[in-house]
Amino acid sequence: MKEATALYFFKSPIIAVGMLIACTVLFYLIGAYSKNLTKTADDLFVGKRTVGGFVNGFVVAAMYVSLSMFLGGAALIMKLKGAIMYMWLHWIVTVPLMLCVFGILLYRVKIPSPIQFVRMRFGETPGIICAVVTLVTLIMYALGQFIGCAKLFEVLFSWQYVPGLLLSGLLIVGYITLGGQIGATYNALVQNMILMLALYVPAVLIFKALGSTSGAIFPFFGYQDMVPAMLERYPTFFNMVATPRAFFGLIVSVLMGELCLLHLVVRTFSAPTVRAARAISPWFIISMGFTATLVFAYSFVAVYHFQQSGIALADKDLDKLVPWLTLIYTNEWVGGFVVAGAVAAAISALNGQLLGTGLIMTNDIIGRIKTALSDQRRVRIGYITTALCGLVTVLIAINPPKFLTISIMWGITFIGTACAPVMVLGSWSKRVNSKGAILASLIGPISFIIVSPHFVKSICIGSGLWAALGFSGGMFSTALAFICMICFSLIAERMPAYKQVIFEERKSSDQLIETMHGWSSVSKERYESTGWLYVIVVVCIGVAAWSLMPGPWLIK
Amino acid sequence: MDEKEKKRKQNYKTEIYLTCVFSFIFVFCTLGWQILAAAVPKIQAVWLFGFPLQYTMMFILSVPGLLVMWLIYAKLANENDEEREALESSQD
Repeated sequence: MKEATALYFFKSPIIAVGMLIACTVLFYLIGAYSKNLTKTADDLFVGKRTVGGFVNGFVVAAMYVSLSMFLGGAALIMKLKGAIMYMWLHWIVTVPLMLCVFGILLYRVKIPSPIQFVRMRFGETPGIICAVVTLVTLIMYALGQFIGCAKLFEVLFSWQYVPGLLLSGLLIVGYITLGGQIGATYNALVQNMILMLALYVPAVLIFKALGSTSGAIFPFFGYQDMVPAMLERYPTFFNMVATPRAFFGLIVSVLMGELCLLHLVVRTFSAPTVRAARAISPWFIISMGFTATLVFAYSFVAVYHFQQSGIALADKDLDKLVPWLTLIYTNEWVGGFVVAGAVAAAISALNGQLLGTGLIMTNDIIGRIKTALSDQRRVRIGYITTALCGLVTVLIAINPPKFLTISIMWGITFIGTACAPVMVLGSWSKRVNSKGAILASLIGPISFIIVSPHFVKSICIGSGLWAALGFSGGMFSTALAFICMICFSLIAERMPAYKQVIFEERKSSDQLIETMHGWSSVSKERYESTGWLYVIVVVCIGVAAWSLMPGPWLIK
Repeated sequence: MDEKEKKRKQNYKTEIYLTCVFSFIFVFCTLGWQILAAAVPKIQAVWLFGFPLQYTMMFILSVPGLLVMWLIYAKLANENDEEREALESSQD
């Protein structure tokens, strides 16, 4: 097989660079317009509470679709074939579930940040732990976007990595800081439209060029006329490569992690009513379904094309599949549009991530050290911290980790091990308390670091890609964190030393939980049961034990 | 127990059931078929609309399926919210 290295690039980069400049100018104009609307710290980080379900759904989808999905998605599918396809679609469930179990509850008590909820519910220590873990995860997440942008410019325009990174990084950080959450709302909507078109139009043209009539009409799921030819060249394409345990590990790890992604939860707060907040989900599903199914279509074509041409792709080139395919089957105008789409995917995700880091730094770290800050000073600090977090991330990206998508997945699972038990159980049970929360939010992430292959190789749970992504270790550590949270809470409330402390803590937390669920009075029966907590402990013991059992995670 | 208290209890139970049942359905919508197909390899031999069954079901359940399920959930949850709001306001 031939080796493909930088086979396809822009012969005349003027078109693509022109499109990028046009997009940058547009995003800056929107940012500058939005700056005039930003008066308070809430405006900066949360936005106005007037955004309807349609706009919010598309904005959340834009913040969710990162460069790792736009480019890295096809790379992972190319590597793991069918299994990863299911993984991507799985994440469509994130926002509906997040709203269902958590987002609406925060909305009712007017708490925009989940970390603020943890602090109000369990006190400062679990709040700080969750803030640090979320901050690290958001920076890892943002890192992937900056690296991806620089690599894209490197491969397509032959720009040097570091100058490309610094130029794109500074431009992106500048416009996000300028516009705040209000600017992010308008910009993310525009960016989502650009990236949806940038996937759809080339997909239609590529299927047309390949002779797939049904694929050109309905590129999301219409390429079945290419399946016989694909199976002839590559009979194992549709084979399942993941075991049931691998899928289960994926559910536990990613779902719990994504429930805690601050920059998505915070969007709920911009809805005017609970009904409008619930209406985010259907639009999110439509937008994500549109994007995710097209990414699969590209991956199908990529495998088809490279099997047919006999060209072997190096791992480092897998992230370039989408622009390469576009350049092979269409022209440089469409290719330029795809580059604009990829950049839109990166910065739409960065919108939320950088503002999330700014929110944590301003409210949950600096705001806790200096409690008497005026709103005007918080706005000023907010601008500075958002820009600083962005610049630090750009500097880290100069010497990046090897495979960007893996670091993002690992980070998402990491946040779930620390925050999911505290947030989910904290909003549904009055019986869990700060003692359990402190231990769970520490034991979860520490055990996850220990059992993942990146740090202590000898005590790793699982092997290969699933362990590297954190799904096998995440299955164990998330279950362990839930067990710790429940058991330590129930033990602590029986210990004489803690009885009075927990009694005092419950005076405010009981009212908070009732209000979250829409009740004006505190009942001694609601959210008091321990029965379902014991059921969760038993289930989690089973899950943790399953993750430790010998046997494969992926089928070779 | 008076009528209002009974209604409150019922409303609370409905909230719990709605959240638990629909959370499970949402997860099943997106990934249930894959686990089933991985656990029962015979399913992988069945084809639908030109693709393996688990592949087709992923598309159908994850997008239109999830959408329908969400609309049902939202309708029931909104109704339950309204009922609770009525109960809570009549208390005042």
